[in-house]
Amino acid sequence: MPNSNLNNAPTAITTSAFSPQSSPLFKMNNPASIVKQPQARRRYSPQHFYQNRILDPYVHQAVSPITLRQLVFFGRNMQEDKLLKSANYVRTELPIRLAHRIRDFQNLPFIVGTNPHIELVYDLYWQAFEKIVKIPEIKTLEENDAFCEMIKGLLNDHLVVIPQLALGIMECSKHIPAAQVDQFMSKMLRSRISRRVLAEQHITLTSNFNSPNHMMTDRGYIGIIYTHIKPRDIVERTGLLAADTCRQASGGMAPPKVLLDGNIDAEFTYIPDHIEYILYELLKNSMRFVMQNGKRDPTTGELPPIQVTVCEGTHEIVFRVSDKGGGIHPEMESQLWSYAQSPAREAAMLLDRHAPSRAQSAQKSSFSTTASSPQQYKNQSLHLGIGLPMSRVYAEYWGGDLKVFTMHGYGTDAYAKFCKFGNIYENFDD
Amino acid sequence: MTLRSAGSSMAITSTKRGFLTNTEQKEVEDVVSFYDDKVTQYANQEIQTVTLKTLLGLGRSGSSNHEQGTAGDLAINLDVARYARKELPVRLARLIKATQKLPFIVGTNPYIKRVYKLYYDSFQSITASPEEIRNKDDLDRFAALLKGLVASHADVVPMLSQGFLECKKYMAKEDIKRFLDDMIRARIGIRLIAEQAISLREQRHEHETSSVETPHDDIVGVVHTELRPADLIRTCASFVQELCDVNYGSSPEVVINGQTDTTFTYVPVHLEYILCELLKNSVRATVEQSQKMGRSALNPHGIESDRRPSPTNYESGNSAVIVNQDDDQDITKRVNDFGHPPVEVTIAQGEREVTIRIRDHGGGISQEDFDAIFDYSFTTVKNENDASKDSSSDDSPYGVDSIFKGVSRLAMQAGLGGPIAGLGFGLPLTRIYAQYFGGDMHLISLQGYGCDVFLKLKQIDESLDDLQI
Repeated sequence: MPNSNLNNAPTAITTSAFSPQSSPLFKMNNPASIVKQPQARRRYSPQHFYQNRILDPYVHQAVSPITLRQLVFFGRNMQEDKLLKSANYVRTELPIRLAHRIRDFQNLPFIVGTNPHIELVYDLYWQAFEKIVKIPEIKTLEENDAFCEMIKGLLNDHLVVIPQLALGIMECSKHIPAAQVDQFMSKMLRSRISRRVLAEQHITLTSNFNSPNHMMTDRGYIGIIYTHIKPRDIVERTGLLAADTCRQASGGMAPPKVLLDGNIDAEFTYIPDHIEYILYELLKNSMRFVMQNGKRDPTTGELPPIQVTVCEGTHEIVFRVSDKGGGIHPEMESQLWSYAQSPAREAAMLLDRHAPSRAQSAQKSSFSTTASSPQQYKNQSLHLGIGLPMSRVYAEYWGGDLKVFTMHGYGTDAYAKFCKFGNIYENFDD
Repeated sequence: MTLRSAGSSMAITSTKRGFLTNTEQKEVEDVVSFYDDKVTQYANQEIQTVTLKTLLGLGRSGSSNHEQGTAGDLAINLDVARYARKELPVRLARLIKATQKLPFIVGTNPYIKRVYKLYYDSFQSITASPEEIRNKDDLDRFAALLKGLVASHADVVPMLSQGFLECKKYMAKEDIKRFLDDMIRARIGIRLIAEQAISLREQRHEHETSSVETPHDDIVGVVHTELRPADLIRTCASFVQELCDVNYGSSPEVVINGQTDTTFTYVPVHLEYILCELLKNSVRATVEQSQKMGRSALNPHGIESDRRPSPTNYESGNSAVIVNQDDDQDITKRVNDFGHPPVEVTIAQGEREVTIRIRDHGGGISQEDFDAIFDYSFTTVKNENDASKDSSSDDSPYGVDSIFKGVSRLAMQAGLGGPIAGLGFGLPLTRIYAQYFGGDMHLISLQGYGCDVFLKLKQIDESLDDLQI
C-alpha cells in the first residue's frame, strides 16, 4: 500500500524511534527477521491445530462493510467520543476480516501451506490476529494512541505480504490450478485493502485530531480521503513519478510525454492513494511499452506521447490512458490479469531471490525518487508482474473497474473507472 | 422465386401458394401441413460440418492458375455447387424446424410467418432442383436459382426484428435472444455457402468472357485476400455520412489513422456490415450529443460548459504532463463547421489479427441503457406509435412530428439502403458477425464523453482451417 506523502495529508506510517533491528529498512531487506524462531515451531505442532478454536467465533461473524460516504460523514467534525467509536470499530472489525482470510489459508492444499513464503504470511496474519484480539475496549484517548501505535507497527510489518504471497503463489503454481490461484489472490488482496483502509483512516483521523491540523478537514482532507480530488493534479503527480521511474530504470532514456484532456477539473471524493496507485501502474506500463516499441517522430525524434483523457459522467469518472506502444502480444494478453506468473517471469524470479525485499522497498518508495535497481531496464527483476491485477482490485474496491484493450501492432488503451458519489459498499468477498 | 416443380408431390395442394404476397395485411396461409415429413427428414440428416478450409480451399485453388484455365475452374465450381445442393437443404430444414418450435402465438405473427414461409419455400425450391449438376448449364441454372433465393431473403433480419418486437410479451428475453442468435448464425453459414457458389460461378464466367486476365485474383468467391480496411471504412463512412445528412442535416467527419496500409484476408460483406452499423451508431450519437450540448464551431465544448479554450495549449517546461485540451491541430478532436467532433477510426495490424478501433464524442451510453444495448429490439429511437410522448418536436428522427412517417419513411429508407437506426438489432448482429471467424467486439462507454469500440478480426488463413461453418 503506497504512502501518500504527496497531498499534504499526514503520513499513515511514520518512522518513530525504532531500534536498528526493527527498523523498516532492515526488515525490508531481511524478511526472515520478521519471523521469530519460536513461532516457526508452532506452525507444525499439534497445539496449533487445537488452538485454532480461537478463530471460530470470528470466522462465523459477518463483516460490516462501509461506504466512502459513511467514512466522510463520520470523519467530519471529529470529537473524542467519535474517535473512540472509530477505534472500537476498527478493533472489532479487523479480527473478523483477518479471521476470514486465515481460514482461507487453512483451506489451501497442505503442500501449498508449507511453502515458506506462504507460511510467513500465514504467520504474520496469526500474530496480528492474536495481538488485536487481546485488546480490551478502548475507553480513553491514551488507550487509542497506544492502539494506533500498535496498528502502525502491524501495517509496517505487513508490507512484505504482497511480494511474499506473489512469490509463494508462483512457486506453488504447479500444485493449484490457475483459476484457483487468481481467486485466492483476489480475495486476499481485496481483504487486505479493506483492512488497511480501515486502519489507515483511523490512524490518520487520530493524528489529525491530536495535531493542530484540524483545518485539514475543512480543506477536504478527512483521514485518507480527499473530497476535492482534481484529475488534473493527480495525473500530473503520477505522470511525473512514472516518468522518473522509467527514466531511471532505463538508464537515462527520456520517457514519452503525457498529454491530458477532457474534464480535467472535475472534482470528486475518493482516496487519492488508490487512484494514484492505479494511474501510476498504467502510466508506467504505457511508458515502458512506448520506450521499447514506440516509433519516434521522424522530425522531432520524440517518442509518441501518451494521451490521458478524463471523462466525467453522471455517476462516474473514467481515466482513459492511451498509448502507441505497439500493443500487447495476444499470448501475453491472456495472462494480463493473472497472478500466476508466465514462464519467463518465473525464471527471472527464481534467479533473483532478492525480489521480495526489493519489491517491498519499491512499494514503499514508489512515490519517492530513489532508484529501485541499477539493473538494465529490460531485466528489471522488480516486476512481480501483478501490477495490473492489483490495480483492478483497487479499482473495483468502491464499485469501479479497470479494463485494458490492446491493438496489437499499434498501442493499448486502459480505462480506470471510479464512482463519483461514494455510495457503493466496499467490494470484498466473504 | 421459382414455383414448385410439378414433380414434387408433397402436401400443400393449394394453388395459391405460388404467389408471393407483398402486403403485410394479406393473410399468409399455413405453409406446411402437419403431415409434411420432408422437412423432418432433411433436418435429421447430419450436417456436414463445413470447415472454412473446405469452403475456401475449394475455391482457392480455382483461381490460382489462370493457365489451367476454365476447365480447372469449372471442376472447382461444380464441386462447390454440388456441395451446396446437398448441404443447403439440410441446414434450411434445421432452421425451419427451429422456427416450428416457437410458441404458437409467435408463429402466427405475420412477420415471423413470412420469414418462415420464405425459408420453407427456399427449401422446397432447392430440393426440387435437379440433384445432379453435371455441366456448365446445370451450374448456371443452379447459380441463378441460388441468386434469386438470396435476393428474396434480403429483408429477413428486419422482418424478424419487427416480428419479435411485437412478440415481446409472449417470450422471455433470453429465449428470444437464444433463438435469434442461433438463427442468425445459421443464416450466416447458409449464405456463406450459397454466396460462395454464386460468386465462384460469376468469377469463372468473367474469366471466360473476358480475354484479359481479371485483376481480381485476390478475390476468391466471397473472400478477398488483400482486403484494405481503410478503403472499406472510407466507403462505409461516406454512406453513413450521407444517411446522417438526410436525417439530421449535418454529420461529423470520419478520421482514419493508424496502420492504414493494412491488408488482410476476410469476407468483405461481413466487414462492410459491421463497419456501417458501428459508424451509424457513432455518427448518430455525435450529432445528437452536439444538439444536446449546443456544440457548434464557435462553442466546441457546448453552450453550458464553463470551459473556456485556453490561449496557449501547451505548457512548456519540464512537466511530464501537458494539457492539450484545445489543440486545434489535432484532427482527431477538432470540430468541423457544424460543431461536430470527428469519429476516429484506427487500424492496427497485429501478428494474428487486425484490430479496428472506433472512437466517438457522442456522450456515451447511460448506465441503465448499457445493459440492454446487446438485446434484440432495444433501440433509443422513439417509436412513432408512442403517441403518449410529448409532441414538442424533437430533432431525433422518427419522432411523432417527424416528416418521415410511415410509408414515406420506409420509402426513403429503402432508397437510402436502410434506416440510420431504430431496428434494434445493429449491435447484437454486429457482434455475431465479428465473432463468426473467431474475432470479437467490445464496447466501452465513457458516459458523458463518448464510446470506444474495439473490433478484433482474425485473418482468414490456414490457422482457421478447422473452423466449422
